[in-house]
Amino acid sequence: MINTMPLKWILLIFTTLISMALSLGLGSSQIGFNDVWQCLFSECQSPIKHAVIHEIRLPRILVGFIAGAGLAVAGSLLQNTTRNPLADPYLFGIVSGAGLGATLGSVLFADANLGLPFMAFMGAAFSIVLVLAVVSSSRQRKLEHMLLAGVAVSFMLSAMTSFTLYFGDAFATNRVIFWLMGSLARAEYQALYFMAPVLIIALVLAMAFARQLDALLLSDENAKTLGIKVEWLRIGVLIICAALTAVIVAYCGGIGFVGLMIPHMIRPFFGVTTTKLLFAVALSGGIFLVWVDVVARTALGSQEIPLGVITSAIGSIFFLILMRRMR
Amino acid sequence: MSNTVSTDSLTSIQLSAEQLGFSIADKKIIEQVSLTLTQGEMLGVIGPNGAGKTSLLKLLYGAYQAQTGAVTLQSQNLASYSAMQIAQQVAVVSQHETNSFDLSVLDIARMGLVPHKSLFALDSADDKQVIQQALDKVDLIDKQTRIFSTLSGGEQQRALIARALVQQADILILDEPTNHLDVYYQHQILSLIKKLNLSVIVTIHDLNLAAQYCDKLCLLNRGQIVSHGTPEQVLTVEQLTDVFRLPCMIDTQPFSNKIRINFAPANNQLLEQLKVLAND
Repeated sequence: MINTMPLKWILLIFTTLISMALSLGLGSSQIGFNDVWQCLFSECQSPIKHAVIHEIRLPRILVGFIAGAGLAVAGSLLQNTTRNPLADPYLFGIVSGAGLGATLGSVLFADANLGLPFMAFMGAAFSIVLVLAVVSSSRQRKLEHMLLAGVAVSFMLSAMTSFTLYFGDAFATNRVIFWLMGSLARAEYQALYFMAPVLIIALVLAMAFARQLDALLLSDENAKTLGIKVEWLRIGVLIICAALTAVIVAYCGGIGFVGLMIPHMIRPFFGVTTTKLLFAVALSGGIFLVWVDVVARTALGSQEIPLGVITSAIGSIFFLILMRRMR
Repeated sequence: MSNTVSTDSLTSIQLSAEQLGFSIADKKIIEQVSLTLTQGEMLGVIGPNGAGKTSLLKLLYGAYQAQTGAVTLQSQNLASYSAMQIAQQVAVVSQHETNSFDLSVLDIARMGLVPHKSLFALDSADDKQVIQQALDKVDLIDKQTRIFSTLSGGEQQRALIARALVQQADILILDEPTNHLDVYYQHQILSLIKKLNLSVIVTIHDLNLAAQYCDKLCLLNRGQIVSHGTPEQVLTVEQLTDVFRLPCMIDTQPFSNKIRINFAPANNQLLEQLKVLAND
């Protein structure tokens, strides 16, 4: 039997680099591959191309890549630690919380001018505090309780968002609704300073506890008899995934299905154990969102399609295909 | 055999329980249970459903904390160990749940390294050798890349035992390892466990298997120990009819010369007759 693992990694890393390079040339104005190469590694031929590549596309592609990677990593970690293949960062109320934060910021405290990302992040943090409060107050701390707490908090915060939007003015409502659909149009280098460190911290922590996380894949009982403090490990994972999702949602809005779908696509090729899975989903989640964004900014010419619309459409079709193949 | 063990039993006691009591919300699960496990001994815990067998095991490996009494591991109170330290000395094969992800046999065996490795530590060449030796002992070396859920029940149980062996603990605790297995695998698993030469505590439903493989037995009923000793001491007509509420007779197994128990369907008349016989 030939070990195909190194080949798969080479292919994945190669695809990552190619995707980054190609997507730099694609957009409302097409730039040839040679020009992109020159702009990146030597001198741009025109100041306009320089501006398009360095000021607009490069930050957008990097933010998109980190966002896709982060969502996929958070999704994989949550699915593995809850042993629930349907777990998703969105299931824990993080996006609903961010939505509520963004809504309150735009509708009620518009004068304070706190900035959408900041308010969205505060909202997401609030939802996590709520979920954790519910989980730690329930006596048994069972797995199902954690998922149910997430769903309950999610619906409650969505209801509050809808209520506020219903009475808010049309302009603010529009702004929030478009933000909730997800976009990289506002991407700038500043977003990377927040997103990249959280992603790196999440990956480093996951590497540190990779053995413990792997042991959790069989059963809680199994992990406990190996001396692992299962409840603490799971709450730790929830917090780090929440932080990761919160910074991504704060800057990019609601981008659904990436965290749910990418781990499912990757497991058959790279296995289920933490280290291999996380690096593979990080790269492929990043590639996926970079290409989704290319579609978002080119498909309708000058008009951009919200990212969440595309990812949800692809995600639902993916799951229908997956269901058919499983039967 | 039993004489040689008892002469230096003080130094060779691996695990012991003294007057354990455990209840959940006023319901007494375990009451005044005392037992000892000596080096290299295979102790079978038997008893009817709901007798408290699994709870007793959980008390012994620290998953539950007893409200009264104490468990002593290597002459030190179990409560004074951290979970990690217990895991270095006691390996547990619990009744496993089915998992939804495709773990390979190797992935599962590798889990046994957890109590011995620090954060970030990678598998050393020695670790890999330990894993391969464990897989070899359970005869799964050729199936290590197979997905756990696609294996037969016996193979799954062996994979879990391999994981316990990688843990390199002196004590092995197994909760109903022969459950759901056909008779071939029941014998395969129990002879495998016996061959490992570890100190073993195992719950078994089949009394004849327990008699055949265990050095000592502990008969549990309603959370209390009815009898603790050799299979001959524990498996008596009187005690068995009392605990299992069925008429029974005892003779010897033709192959192993160990005790064989035959139960009859519930029948009060027969029960009375056998009691009279036993008293004679």
